[in-house]
Amino acid sequence: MSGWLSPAGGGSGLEAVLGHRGELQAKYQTFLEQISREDAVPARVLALMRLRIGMIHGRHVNVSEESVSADEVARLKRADFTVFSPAERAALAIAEHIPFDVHGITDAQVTEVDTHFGHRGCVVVQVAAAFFDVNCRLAGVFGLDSASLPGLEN
Amino acid sequence: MSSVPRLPSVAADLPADFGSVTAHAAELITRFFELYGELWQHGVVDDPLRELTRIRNARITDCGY
Repeated sequence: MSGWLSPAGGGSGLEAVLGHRGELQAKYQTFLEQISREDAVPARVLALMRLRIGMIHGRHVNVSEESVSADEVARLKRADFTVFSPAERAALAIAEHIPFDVHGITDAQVTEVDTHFGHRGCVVVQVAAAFFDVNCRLAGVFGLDSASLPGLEN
Repeated sequence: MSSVPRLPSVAADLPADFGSVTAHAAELITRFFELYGELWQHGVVDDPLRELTRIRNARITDCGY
C-alpha cells in the first residue's frame, strides 16, 4: 500500500509523510531515537515489543536479524512467548495490551516490568510501547504498510 | 484500570503524577515534552480544534488526563 498522502520532498514511507510537518517530524524522530538510546531497557527487548505491536496492527516494522531470529519472529506472530526470557516476556505482556486493551494492563504486569528493569526502565517500556503503537496508528491513518522510521531499526 | 499510581514519584516530596513518575526517565520525558510543545504551540491546526480532538480522544480511550 503506497498511502493516500504524497510524501513531502520525495522519499517514501512514514518519515516522508510526516515531513509535511517538518519541525514536528524532527522532534518526533528525536524523541523516538531517545527511546533507542535508553540503556535501562536492552535494545532487543524494544525490538521485540516493536515487532509484536506491529504484528497486532498488521504493520511491517524493520528489525535487524541480529536482534531477533526468524524463529523468534514466527513465534511472536503466533503469540508464543515461551522462548523469551522472563524480562522479555514482562515487556511483551505490556506490548500485547497496549494496542487495544490498555486498561487491561494489570498492577502485577507493571510490577513485573519494574522488577526486571527498575523504575526508569519501567517508564521506558511503557512510553516505548505507547509510541510504537502510535507509529502503527500513524501508518494506518496514512494508508502505509510500514510503521518503520529511521533510527529505530534495532 | 488502576487508579493508584503504579510507580512512586521520582522525588519523595512530590506526589506521584504523570510528571513526577515519568521523570524517572528524565532524558526521555524531556524529549517527549519538546515534541508535545511543538505539537501544541505550532502548526496550522488552531487551538480549539486541537483541544477538541484531545478531549474527544480522551473520552474514547477513557483517559483521565
